[in-house]
Amino acid sequence: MSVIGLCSCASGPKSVSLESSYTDNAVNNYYGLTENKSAENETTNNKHNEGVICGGSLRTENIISGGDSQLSVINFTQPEDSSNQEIPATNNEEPFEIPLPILPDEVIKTTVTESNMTHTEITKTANNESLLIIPSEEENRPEEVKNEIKQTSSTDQLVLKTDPQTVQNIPTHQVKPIFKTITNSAEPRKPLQNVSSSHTPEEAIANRANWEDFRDEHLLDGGDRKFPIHFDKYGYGGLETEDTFAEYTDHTGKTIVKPTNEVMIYSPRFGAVRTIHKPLAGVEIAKVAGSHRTERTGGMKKRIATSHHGQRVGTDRIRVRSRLSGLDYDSVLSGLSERTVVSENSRVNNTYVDLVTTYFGGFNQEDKAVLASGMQAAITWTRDDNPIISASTSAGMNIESVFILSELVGEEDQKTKGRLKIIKMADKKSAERGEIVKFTIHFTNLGDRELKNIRVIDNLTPRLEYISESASSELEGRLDVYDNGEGSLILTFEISEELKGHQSAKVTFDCRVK
Amino acid sequence: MKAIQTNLSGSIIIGMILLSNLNNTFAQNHVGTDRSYHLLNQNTPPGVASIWAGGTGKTIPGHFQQVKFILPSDGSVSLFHNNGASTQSHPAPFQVGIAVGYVYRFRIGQMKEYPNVELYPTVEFIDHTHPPQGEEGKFPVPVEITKKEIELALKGSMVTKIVYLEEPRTANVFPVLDGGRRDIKTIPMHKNLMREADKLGRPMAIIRIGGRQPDKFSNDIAFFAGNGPIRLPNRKID
Repeated sequence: MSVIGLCSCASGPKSVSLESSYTDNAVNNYYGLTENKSAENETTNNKHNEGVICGGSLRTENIISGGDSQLSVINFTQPEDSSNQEIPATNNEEPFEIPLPILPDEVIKTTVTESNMTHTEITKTANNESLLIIPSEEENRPEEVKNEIKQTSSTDQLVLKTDPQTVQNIPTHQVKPIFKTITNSAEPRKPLQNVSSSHTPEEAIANRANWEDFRDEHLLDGGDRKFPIHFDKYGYGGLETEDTFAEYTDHTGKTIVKPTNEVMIYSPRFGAVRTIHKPLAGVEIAKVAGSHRTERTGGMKKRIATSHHGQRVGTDRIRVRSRLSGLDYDSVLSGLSERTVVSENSRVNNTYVDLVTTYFGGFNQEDKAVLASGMQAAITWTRDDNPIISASTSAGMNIESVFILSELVGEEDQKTKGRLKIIKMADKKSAERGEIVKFTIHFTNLGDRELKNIRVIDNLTPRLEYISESASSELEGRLDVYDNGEGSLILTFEISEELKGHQSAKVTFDCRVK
Repeated sequence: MKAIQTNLSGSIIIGMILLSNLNNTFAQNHVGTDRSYHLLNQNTPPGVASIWAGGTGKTIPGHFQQVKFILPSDGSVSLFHNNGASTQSHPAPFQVGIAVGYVYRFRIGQMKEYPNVELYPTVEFIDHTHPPQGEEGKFPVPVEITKKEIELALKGSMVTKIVYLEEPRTANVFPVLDGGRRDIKTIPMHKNLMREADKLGRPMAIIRIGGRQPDKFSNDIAFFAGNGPIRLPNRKID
């Protein structure tokens, strides 16, 4: 004999007999399983609440966990006014899918091990008879069940024996628990795997923090910080320290400015400020105000007494005077803002000497675009159904044409205009004060046309000191050095040669870290 | 009637002067021109700033920060353990890793410029650096005691110094002196030293040096208490 379900309701609701449960709400609720699906999911459960039919709801774990137990307990309960019972909102259990609106017969034969008897809260029951299964379903029940039910007296609990043979027919393929994945954005408090054992976990965490993000610990040079570099009628604009860019003219005569990447070298430098507390005036009184000693030998008497003894140690007055130094730091540094620095926080493509990347890193994508443009132009020119007159202002094409409808003669120049790619590199990732760092500015013409009047300009950061006579260039040109007024120099490499299409060149110079 | 008017006008003037002074004092101590509010200053008791730094997540308490003790010339730097019961002396300059969040009292002595002079400064770290892995010992934070500070301490003054990580873009504020040393700017006492350091960079450590000596006749636990762990540099073990 099998059981329908198991319920051990420890909280509140009274138990009813199995017979009455078939005719009362409990039975209805049992068959009203489908309608109770939503209520089932809203039920407050405990995680050990497996395999329970309680108050008309079915814990589908019954079907799975019902096993080979020989002894099972049925405890149908009827909640008090369950139709109006509020479902607690503290459902911490994972929801389960309710597989079928009508339980198969095998389910009825399912048993539940006694170890699965745990606390179950009352679920919301369906009292609406329209939700019930047609009575014919009851007729399909196995005879063993019906007989067992009829022979059972109206008790709160019914002890049934289970036939192990029937248990093996338990359908287990229709119940799939749904597990929610809890994704906590917890702080990654674990050491890196590649951290050596000599480091403490705290150090591992500290080192794992993107050390490149702490820009104030680095020496920065390159790029175009703050205001963009631009031209006006007076010359350059937006040229701040650290800025490095190239200025060139393409074959159309257009002047173009292109900044480099930013180079970061770990080189923290420390300073100190202090205050001095010094009392300007102090009076110390440490004396005995009065002391009298009487010592005489009048007969056999000896008297030693102190009539008054007082000590005063203190400072009557302390006056502190300080004068302003005359330096107004507020005005000097009023523009300094930590937020401004953080707002510019960006990962820097800190490319060190990696010429392979330099030569071939961006060529393919650029060439594809150019090639596509050329193909489009070629398609246009191969049309023969009607004459087309085409001219390009950007590519500088040389066209000869005869305006005869039957004949079109032209010459197409598919050369792309020159474009410069410029990369700045350093030969060190970190440098102490006094070390020499070699900077390399590598520039490549990605186009077919030549580039002229190339000038590479580097406004050195104040912590870099240019070492004279250290500059070199692969192309002919000259170097002009100007004072930037902020403690460093502006280096201007003027390249006199043309940079032909797909040609690369570089300039190098050395700086000492201050 | 005239006398009453005179007294009244005089009181108003005095009151305005007092109010203006009060306003200036408050502004200088708390809110700067950048509208930042600094609760900490040079008068904050030792240990408070480092505890706050750890509690607010600014730094990691217990993280070992490499520091370098620097004296004017020759001398020794001694660190204490067990509330001052044991001492470990090292010739200066001396580099060691000390934990962020603790107050360390150390002794400087055996200086050739100041024979028979021993001073007991303190240092606490409120932030740490993030060097590349494997280069932690390459960039220590300098804990430098200058000749002027020693002389001031011997005269009874109290010097509070904040070491800050310099903002690179304003790095030319204080020029570097010969020998790579930096000129230390002395801030007027009525100004907030923490805010001044914060304007120049990122405050890292607070150094206090005065003339206070431990009680030689008793175990002055309070004087030495607070020293945290240290991490000595790697050395060959025979």
